[in-house]
Amino acid sequence: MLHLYIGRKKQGYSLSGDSMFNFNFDKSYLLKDFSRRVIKEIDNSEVVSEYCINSPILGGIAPTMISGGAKTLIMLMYTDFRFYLEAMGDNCFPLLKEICDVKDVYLCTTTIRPLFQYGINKFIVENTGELVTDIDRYVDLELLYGGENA
Amino acid sequence: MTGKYDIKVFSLQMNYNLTIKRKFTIIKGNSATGKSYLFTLLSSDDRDAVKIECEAEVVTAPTKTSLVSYLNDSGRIIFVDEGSSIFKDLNKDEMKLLLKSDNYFVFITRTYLKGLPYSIKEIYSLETNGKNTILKPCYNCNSIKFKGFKDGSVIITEDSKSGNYIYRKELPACIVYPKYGSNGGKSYIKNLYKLLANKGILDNKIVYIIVDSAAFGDDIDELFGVISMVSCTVQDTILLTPESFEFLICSVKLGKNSKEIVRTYDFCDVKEYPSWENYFTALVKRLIPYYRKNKLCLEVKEMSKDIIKSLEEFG
Repeated sequence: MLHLYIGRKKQGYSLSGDSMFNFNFDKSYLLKDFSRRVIKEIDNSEVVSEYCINSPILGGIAPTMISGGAKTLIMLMYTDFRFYLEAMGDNCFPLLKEICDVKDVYLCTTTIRPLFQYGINKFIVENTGELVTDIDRYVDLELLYGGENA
Repeated sequence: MTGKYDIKVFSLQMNYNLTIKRKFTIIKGNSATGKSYLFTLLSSDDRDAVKIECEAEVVTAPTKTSLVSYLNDSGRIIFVDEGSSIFKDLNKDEMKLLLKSDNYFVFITRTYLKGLPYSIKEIYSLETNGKNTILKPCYNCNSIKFKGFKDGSVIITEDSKSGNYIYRKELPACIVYPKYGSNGGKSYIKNLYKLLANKGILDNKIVYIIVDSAAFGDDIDELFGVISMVSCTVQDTILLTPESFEFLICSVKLGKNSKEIVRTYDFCDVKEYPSWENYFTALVKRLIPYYRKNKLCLEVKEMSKDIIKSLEEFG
């Protein structure tokens, strides 16, 4: 289940998956099926080994050079770190939905994102503790809390 | 700092061609489009390894401290990547420094940058064709040819100041919101749209939303979010994006092909004017010394027909 805080959290949530992945990832994450799919579907790249990714544009690269969105998805799946939703492009949302279906995920967001469009249509908004299942309520809450500092 | 700058970045695997022409430029978009790689290339100090061509000095600010250290200098194009803490923790003093700074800024982020006066037209994603990557506008402001206001439609403006008055005067067959006397404000538009939609006032209507695009960038995502998500039976919603109401006055006074209109970037000194909206307001005050935003003056009143024409052209 997704737990979404609407607003700007200064602490406890990372704006980007980059540093969190580069300095905290366990190399074994990369060999798991889900990580291989993330790297294939988001970066159009193949995991060669835990030390090497094959990118069609950049060639053989270190895992630290995969995209910020892919890093965030992998960290969300295999750790309990929390991120801004803005660490991921819209193209990450189908895979984010899969993660939310199997575990609790804590994210915060500053602006309206097309969650419902990608099937993420049931989540808890942490600001009020309510379960949101329709777009109108999501928009209402975003207009109320989005952009506010926590 | 004024001007338009082409930035060319060459590496073995990727080339980037970017044109920067306002104080604030935003790069966002899908993951894995090369945003952070661009930042990595620009961060390299070794110009033999990464060739960068630009008439201005291009620098990167990986931390908030490094960004703040650049703010008092001038003439640079400063890139900031999405992980920077400035996107979640910029205090009022730092924001003031940023607005007064004599540099251009390129922010690579999807975060809502509340209070930063950036243009809808300077929000980009990266588009790659083979080895070459360019900026692609996220919002194509000229995607449809505007054919004028339809009778019976609804017009929503940012506030009830001069522009709102002109639209009510010249377009009596349309219903203009907010009503006279409302404070409004650009962030209020999305709430107003939602309110009117929920009351059924927009049912089966064509709705024109007129925004000052030069400083509406921070609100555009939420406005589109509301337009696309709110369930109502609006026939069509059309967003008109002149730079600002004062821009329309300038385009009438100076002519649409005048250098201030066509090459605004050469005249808008970003140390004085963080956005083109501020520049055109100052320009109008030079052209019409007694012009006030809140009070309609005779000269603007007399220009109202031409202002509507200009809106139809630049909208």
